[in-house]
Amino acid sequence: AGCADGADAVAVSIDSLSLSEGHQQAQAECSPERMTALKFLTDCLGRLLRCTMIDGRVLVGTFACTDRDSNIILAGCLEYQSLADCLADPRDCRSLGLAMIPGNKLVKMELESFGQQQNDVSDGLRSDGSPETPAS
Amino acid sequence: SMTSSSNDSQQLGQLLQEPGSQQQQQQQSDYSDITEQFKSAACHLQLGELLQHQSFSLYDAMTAIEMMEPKMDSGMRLDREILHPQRSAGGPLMKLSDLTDAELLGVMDESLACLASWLDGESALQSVFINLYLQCIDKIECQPLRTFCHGLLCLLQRAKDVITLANTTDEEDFNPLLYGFEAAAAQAADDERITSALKEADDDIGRQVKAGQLAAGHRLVQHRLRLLRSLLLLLRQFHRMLQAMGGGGSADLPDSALSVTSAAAIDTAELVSPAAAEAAAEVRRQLESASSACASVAASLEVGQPAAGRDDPRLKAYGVQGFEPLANLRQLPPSFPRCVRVFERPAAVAYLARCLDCLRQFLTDVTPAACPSYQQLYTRLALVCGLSSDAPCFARSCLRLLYCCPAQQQQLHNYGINLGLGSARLFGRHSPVEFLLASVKQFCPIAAGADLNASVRQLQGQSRQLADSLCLQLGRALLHQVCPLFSRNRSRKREKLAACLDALWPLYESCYCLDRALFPNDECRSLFLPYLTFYLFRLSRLYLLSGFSLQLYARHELPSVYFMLGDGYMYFLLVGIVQADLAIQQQLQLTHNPYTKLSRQHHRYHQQVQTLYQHHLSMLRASNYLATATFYALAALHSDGKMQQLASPHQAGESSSFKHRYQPLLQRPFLPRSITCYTNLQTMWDSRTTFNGELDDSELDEGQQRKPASTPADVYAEATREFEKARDALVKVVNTASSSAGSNSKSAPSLATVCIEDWDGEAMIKVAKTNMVVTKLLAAGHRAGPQHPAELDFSVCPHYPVIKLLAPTAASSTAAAAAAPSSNGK
Repeated sequence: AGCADGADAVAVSIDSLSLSEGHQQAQAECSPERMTALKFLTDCLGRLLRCTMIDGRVLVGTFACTDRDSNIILAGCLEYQSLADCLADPRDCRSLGLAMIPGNKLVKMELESFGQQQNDVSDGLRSDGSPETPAS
Repeated sequence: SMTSSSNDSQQLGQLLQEPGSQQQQQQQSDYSDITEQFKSAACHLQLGELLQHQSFSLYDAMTAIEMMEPKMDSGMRLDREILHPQRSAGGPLMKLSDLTDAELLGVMDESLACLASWLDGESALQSVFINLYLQCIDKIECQPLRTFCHGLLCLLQRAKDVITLANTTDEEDFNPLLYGFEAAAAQAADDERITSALKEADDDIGRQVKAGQLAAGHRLVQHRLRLLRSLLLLLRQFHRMLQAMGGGGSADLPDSALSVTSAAAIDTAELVSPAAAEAAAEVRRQLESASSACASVAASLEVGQPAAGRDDPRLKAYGVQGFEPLANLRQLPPSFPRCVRVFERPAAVAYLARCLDCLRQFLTDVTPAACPSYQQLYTRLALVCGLSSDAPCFARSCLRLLYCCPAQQQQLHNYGINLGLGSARLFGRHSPVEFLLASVKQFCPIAAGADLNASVRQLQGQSRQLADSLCLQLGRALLHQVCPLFSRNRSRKREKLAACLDALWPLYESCYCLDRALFPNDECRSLFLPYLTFYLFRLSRLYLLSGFSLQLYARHELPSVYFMLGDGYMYFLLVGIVQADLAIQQQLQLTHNPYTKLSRQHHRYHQQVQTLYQHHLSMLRASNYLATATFYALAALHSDGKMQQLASPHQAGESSSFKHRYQPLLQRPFLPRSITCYTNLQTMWDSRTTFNGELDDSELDEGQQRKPASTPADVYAEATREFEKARDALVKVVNTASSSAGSNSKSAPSLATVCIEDWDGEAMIKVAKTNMVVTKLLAAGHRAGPQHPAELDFSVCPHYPVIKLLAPTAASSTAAAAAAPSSNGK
């Protein structure tokens, strides 16, 4: 869509989806598919994501950032050696802090889907990037 | 690409699908698979666009660990089995018996490589303990391997004790934490049993090879066992030597009293007791056998199974039996997982050999054999400490324990608990006071007179108290703060220098008072004051120079640095020493009676000793000239417009940043006038950069008052003169050092052994010569003005720059360029 060179990352501010009018790019940005896609992704932000990598490891963390190639950054990330380990003993893990998973190393992404919505007041992340423990 | 990875992911996803059990399905239902949805949604983002949470910043993004990247992801599951100490023991990758000699040697050599890496600063979990055999030693059936592992653990514990007791390492030098393996290491600490077990295994192999039961390659295994055993014996002997040094002697004398040994004893005292000397000889013997064992191991490193998996994590196996770099990751704290670099085997054995060499050098240099008189100990010690900054930290720790052996027996017994070496004595028996008096005497033997100790003892009352406390403080500062200064960590070294200066400056006044008390009739004669000033000079210089290697100085701070290094600050210190020097020269003339043989001998000796201290002094003076010259040159370059970044010291906030930058140096207790160093800097700078105004020179310290310059050319000329002085002084210094290297005077240490830290005479001469030529050119008016910019080049000497004239900027006229001489200012 005729974007600038990929060298500089342009952050999309989710709060202000107001776009400059009359700009051709703005037209492309306004398309309904894009809006729904962005809404979906934004809803996932701040929630627990369980990602499986191609070597079988499972990383569980708070979804913090992504980009076009589905590279994901997880905050407060815990690493399990396999899905079995993750389910068997949630404490048998290694804490990684902030981790970035390249999109091409991802096999599966699972979003926690219990009913509690993250509301605007608490955005699910503490100031140092570690997630608040979700009340289960 | 996306498509191929999705194929893989499908296959892998199926593999990972757990057979449905109620509970798991229950848990799984908490998570919903959004893979495809996510990926297709993400495609709507533009190239380079990020979708991020409010509280997440790009700065955070930089600090994230990248998964599946071998350098950052130390937990990366590789396409191979991860060995587990209990589960894999006995399996094909971690055999407990019937190891071939290649496999056995592979394990042993790799363990040695890991040991060397640990000594070099890697954490034990990621180096020594990747050998999983250490976690299940009792299960090993192969006897050589079992004894080897026991020996390794014992060696680990002993080495750790030595290093933690000496306490000279900084954070990155050495990591003493064992992360839960302390119990295993402590259990193995019975080294008598282990060394005999090693010998037994050694002999067994010999017998079996002779009898034909084992392949001849097993002889190489014997070498490894012998190396381990000799290292253990070495450490045991070293411990015994420390005990011998610390146990006897004047351990029960309170520190506060001056030693009551007679003057003769101070001059020729045995540095160590006979028992300790014997133990030291035993240590040397053990060192030789350890070195030869090291050499024989080094010669046969190619036989062992190589660790191919070390460099290529994708390989099926690490390559060596029982080694697993990923095994201990759970125990590591959740910090950034560092990539551990284990030494290559030849490099590791070379490292161990170097440790032994350094230890041998320390033992020869800092023992009675090398120092016929106690007085020379000071120079030797200073030299050795200065050279030890490059030594491996284990060797440095041994050195510190050697000369600073804890006096109380308890300290030696409490392995692992560092009670501090604050009360330690020189070689275990000499109080720091004796050390101080001896080195003061060597510094100014004429001023000290025949019997310094007696003159000090003769003081009464308050003076005596002053002498006691001063000598104790100074001696302690020298022994415990100045000597252990040198290590690999340069920023810590700078902090330690600041701490030394903080400790020494308060003693300035006391030194002056003591001098007056010792020599009440002789106003010019001073002893302790020049001694202290000399140390302050050296330490301040080191402090200033350390800023260069740490790249602390911004371009606009350079004038102030050279101001401090040169006349602005050092001058004051130099004056103190020079006065004492003059007094000594006078004394020498007075006492020299050429008609008696004894007097001639004394005179020659004193001349030689004086030359030693003179040499030191001329080195410092030469560097002083060079620094002053650089300051003038910088002032001229600034006023000429050639280097705009050298801001004048008048900018706002400059005064406080100056104070902050040079805080440890600005503590001098009595200033001739109530003028700060900073004001001096201002006036010196102004007098060389402003040319038309009125200059008030009267406030400068004497010796810094100069005629105000009238043009930049004058300042260049001044700089040229100073560079010339610097060059002459440096050439003289270098020549004296090299000419005396050939002489073999036994009674005084040769000048070549006098080292002053951070000194590179040849490079400094080059800088002085080049700059002299350049400033001469500029003084004559060539290449004047801002259209011929200049630059500072620190590649020749890291502390003093070479002035380079650059090509003229485009603004200059071609006529000017053509008219100027074509000589390139280098």
